[in-house]
Parts: sequence; structure tokens; C-alpha cells
Amino acid sequence: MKILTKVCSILLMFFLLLFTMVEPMDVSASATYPSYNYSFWEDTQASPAPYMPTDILDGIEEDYGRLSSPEDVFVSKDNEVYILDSGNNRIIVVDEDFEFIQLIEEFRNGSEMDTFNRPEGIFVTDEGHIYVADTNNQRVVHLDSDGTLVREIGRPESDVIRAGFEYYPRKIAVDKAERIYVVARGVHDGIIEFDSDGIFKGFYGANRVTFNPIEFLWRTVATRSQRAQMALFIPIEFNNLDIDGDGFVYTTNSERDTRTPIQRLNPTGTDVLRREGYHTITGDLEYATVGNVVGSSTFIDIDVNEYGMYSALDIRRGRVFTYDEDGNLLYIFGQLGEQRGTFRTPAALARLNDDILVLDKGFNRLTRFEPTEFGSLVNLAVMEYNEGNDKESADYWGEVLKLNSNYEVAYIGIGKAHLMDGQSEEALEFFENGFSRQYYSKAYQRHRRDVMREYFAPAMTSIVVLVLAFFGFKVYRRFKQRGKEGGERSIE
Amino acid sequence: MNKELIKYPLYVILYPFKGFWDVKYEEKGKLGIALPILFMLTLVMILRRQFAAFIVNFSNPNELNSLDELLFIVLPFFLFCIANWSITTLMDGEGKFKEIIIVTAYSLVPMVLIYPFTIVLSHFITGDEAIFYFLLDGIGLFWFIFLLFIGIMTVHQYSVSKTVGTFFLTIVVMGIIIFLGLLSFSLIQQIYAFVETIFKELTYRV
Repeated sequence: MKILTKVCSILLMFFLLLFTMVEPMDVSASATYPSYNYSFWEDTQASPAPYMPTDILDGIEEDYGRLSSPEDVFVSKDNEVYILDSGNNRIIVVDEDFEFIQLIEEFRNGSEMDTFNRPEGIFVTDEGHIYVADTNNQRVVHLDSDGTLVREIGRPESDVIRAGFEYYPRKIAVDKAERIYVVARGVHDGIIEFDSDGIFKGFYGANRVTFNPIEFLWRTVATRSQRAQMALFIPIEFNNLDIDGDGFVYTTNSERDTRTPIQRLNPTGTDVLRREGYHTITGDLEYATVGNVVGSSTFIDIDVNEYGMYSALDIRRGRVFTYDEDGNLLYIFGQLGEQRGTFRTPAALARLNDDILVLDKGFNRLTRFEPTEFGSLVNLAVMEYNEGNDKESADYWGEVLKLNSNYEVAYIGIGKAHLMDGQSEEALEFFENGFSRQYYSKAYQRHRRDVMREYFAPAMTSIVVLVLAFFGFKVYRRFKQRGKEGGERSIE
Repeated sequence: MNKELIKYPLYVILYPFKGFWDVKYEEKGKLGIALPILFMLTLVMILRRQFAAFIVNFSNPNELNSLDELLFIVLPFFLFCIANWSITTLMDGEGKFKEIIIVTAYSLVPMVLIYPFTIVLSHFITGDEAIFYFLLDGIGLFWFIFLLFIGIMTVHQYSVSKTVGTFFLTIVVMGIIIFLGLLSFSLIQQIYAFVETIFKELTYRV
């Protein structure tokens, strides 16, 4: 008996061991940090991870050597990745698998070879022309796709430029008409705009000065010398920009506790970002006000894709927030830390197909994040909706809900498809789950009309019939009564 | 209790001057009716939070708590009555405490009547028509304030200006009562903690 139990237990242990060995060790399925999103009620809610880190480019085992405080990354139309390796004053071009293509370290300028000096911004046009904001050389360098100099664009010259203006271009974007937009350090007047010939046209989309009543009160009370000591009322400077397919400029700024850290500027420089989502477009909604990391999210880079989705990189907590074109917060990933998939000093982000690349200036590396099943379903749903395919979009949203039933945006997506299909009654429940009073109203109005149409005729008929029956009965009774009275009279 | 007295609140809300006069001098108001009215209002408010349609219902279902609702209606009700009574006894008011309770409760009747109707209505409106819902709500509220004003004026036999003054003072007194309540609560807590510490200290040493 004793031996039997022993044998049994050994067998059991053996099987257990076998199971643990057979069980696939799915390491990549867990992120190094918990994923979350914000619910309609602004609570943080656990969420499936939308993106996972895969490969890392740091140049350590490559011929071109390791990166040194890279400042910017750009993905061209042909999915070539341009890394602006600022510490080494060079541009590294790799393909979408991070295989080396080209290195641009110097270019011929007139009769001499010229180099960059701590450049901070890069932009590549659809034709493959490279624009570099060559920060410490105080110029914009325009190269063609081979790395040959086309022209250089110096500091803006105009009467509106104030005296003592220091020009340090930091970030750059070029639109389809080859207008050049430059964000420069310490410039509060807005984005510097050059026309296609490189001639300064003006400042674009200046941030408004924010007015603080308490500060104003102090200012009125203070003496002149005290007032001189106070910080000046100056508009906030932009810190980065991107251009979407329609020529709208997406900008970020690093103002503290602002309601508009992300703006979408139309050609006249007015902010036209859609804010139809549940929350303000400010990154984290809940954050500490005391402790090591305090204050709202501070965006330093933004990337917009062709479906109107945009991702912004928060330097304070190392997170990437992605919104759809209506301003719904879709997903959040990333964190500061020491592990793979976390950052020390995130500097730039770019979108490579569905992947998101995040450049880390502190760790000198470029991390590729690939969407998980959840992330790619969300992307597909947004894409299909943007292209007008409500039905397909709703199917993807349905899949999203299977993975995360708290995903409120998905309910609205499905509701909209039902509404388009004329199933307003089905749509009602989805809009209620998605907390969209606007669309709920729309659906309810249609539903109510349908019901009225269906039941109006029978209801009216029955009312008329009832009324007629009532009067008929009354007449009948009176007639009968009279007959009775007549009868009584006749008896008398 | 006869049928006439049960129907009487409906008469009061339509003819407040005569109605409240009779509450005071003809013994037409009953505590046994006033308190059920208060209870009914609480019930209506709970139903409203729970069952008003999505389009007008902004309450978070995770935070619904019927006991809270009870607390936020019954407590202010008695707070108002006590504060008003304390002020009016000092200001030559003729109303008794019982009369104040009856008058306040009878004034709540419009809300008790209108709110269930608006709950039902809310299920048949769209966002654009929600204004009717809020209009009806507002009518209920203003009707209540109007009745309360007339009622308090009548039971204390005040002039209009004096009633306005007492209302203002009542609100101040309500604040004072809350303040004193919180103060005594925290003091009791500290005394309790003090006694507890001494007791613990003694048990360790003796």
C-alpha cells in the first residue's frame, strides 16, 4: 500500500513536471507594466496591452556604431526609417526591418564638406528629400534623397523679427506645397513659416497668452520694481509638430496644466482639433500633485496617421497616448523605467505601418512597438470607420469588446453601424453602453418615429371605434329608456 | 383618520394661503400624513436616480446608494425644521415645532407628484426634448419653495420681509448646527481615542 502511494505520487510529480515543460512559455504576452485606460467616469481601468515592445535598434552591433543622444526619428513614405543621431551629427537610414541602408554624415557645400551641428529635427518629403533642422548651425538643411545638398535656409529675415532674436530651429515639417514649418527654441510668436523658396512668410498659429486672475491681482498690487521681478506674461512655445494628409499641422506644447497640449491648426492658424471624446485631450486624467513625478502629461512629440489617429509622447511618464480623429482616447502604453519597452528620456515617436517607434535619448535606442491583437483590432476598427465602412468597423469593434468589454468607444462604433442599418432599436442599447447621449437621442428619435408609424393607424382606428361605440351605446340606452318610459306611460 | 385629511395636502398645494391657515387654526394638518409624504419623496428621489432614462440620468450607477439618498433628504428636512424653530421662537414666531414639520412636509407634495411623472416622461424624450423634463423639475422645485414660504409665513404670522429674513437666518443656523455637530463628533472621537490609549497603557503596565 505504502509503495503504491509512493509510486502514485512519483507518477503525479512526473506528469506535473511534464505539463510545465509542455506548456508554452509565453513570455512576450505580459508587459513589464500593467496596461490601463480611462473609463467614462474617469476611473483608471485595467485594459489589455495595446502594444508590445519587439526589437530595439541601438547600433551597438552594427558597423555604424552606437547612437548618441538621438533627437528625432522619421518614417518616410517608403517605410525607410531616418534616425537623427544628434550626438554623432549624422543621419542613419534603415529599412522597416532595421537593416542598414545609408549613412549621411557630411555633404558637399560649395567647395567644402559640411556637417551638422547638434541637429534636433528631421523631415522627409514624399519625394525623399530630407530637411534637417540643424540646430546649432542655426539653419535648415535641405538634402535630396542621396544626401546631396540642395539648399540651406538661414534665419528668417523680416521687420517683424525683434532685435536680438536667436534662431535655433528644433523641429521641422514640410507640407505638400513645400511650405516649411519650423519650431525654434525660445520662440513664442508661433511656428516659423517659410514658403517653398525658403523665404520667411510669417509666424503661424501663435499660442494665446493665458490669463490668470490671481496673478493679475498680484500684479496690480505689486510695486513697479516688484513687477519687474515677476515672470513675464509670455505665450507658450510649441515644442513639436506634424502634418497630416490634408495639410493640417498638429502641434504639442509643454505648458503646465494646459487644457490644450495638443492642437490641430488649420491654414489660418486656428486650433480645430475635434474634442468630441469623453475627456479632455490632455493625456493622463489622474495624476499625482505631490511626489516624484507630479503634474499633467507633457507631450514632446506627436504623430498623425492617414486615418486621423494621432499618438502623442508624454515625456513626464514615458507614455504614448493615442486618440482617434474625434478625440476619443483609444489606448495608452509605455512607461519610464530600465526595462525593455520602457524609457529614460523619450524624445520622439514615429509610426511605421501599424508599429510605433519610440526614440529614447537617454538610453540611445529606438524601440519598436508592435500592436497586440487588441491594439490591431482597435486600429482596424478606426481605419474602417474613417473610410466609411461602418459595417466592417462594427465587426472589429465587436472583436475588441470580446477582449475588453469595458471599451466604451467600441459600443458607440457598433451603435453607429446599427443606426446606419436602420436598426435604431438595437442601436439604443449600444449608445447607452457607450454613454453617447447625442447618438442615443438620434436613435431614439428614429425608433419612436418607426413605432408611431407602425401603430398610428390601428391606434387611431381603435380610438374612433371606441368613441363611436360609446356614443352608440348612449344613444341605445336613451332610446331604450325612452321606450321603457313610453311603455310605462302606455301602461298608465 | 378620515379621507378628507388624507386629501387635504392636495388642497393645500392649490390654495396655500387658506390651506396653511386651516393647518394652523383648524387642525387640518396631521403629522401622520406629513411624515409619509417625506418618506414618499425619498422613495421618489431614489426611483429617479435609478430609473430616470439615460438621456437625463447623469448619476454613476457604481455610486448609487439609497441610504445616502435618505440621508440627503431626511437629514436636511429635520435640520431645516429645527433651525427654523430655533430662530422663530426667538423672533416671536407663533408656529409650533409640529406645525413647522407639517408645513414643510406638505410643501414637498408638488415634487412628490411631479417627479414620478417626469421619470416616466424621460423614457419618451430625446436629448432636444430634455428641456421639458428639466422645466417640469424646475416647476416642482419652485412650487415647493413658494409653498414653503407661504407656509412658514402663515404658521408664524409673519410679514413678507420678516419671513425672508428668517429664511436667511435659518440657513445660517443650519450651517452652525452642522458645524457644532462635526465639532462635537470630532471631540468625542478624540476623547474616545484618549480613553482607549489610557486603557491600553494600563493593561500593558498593570
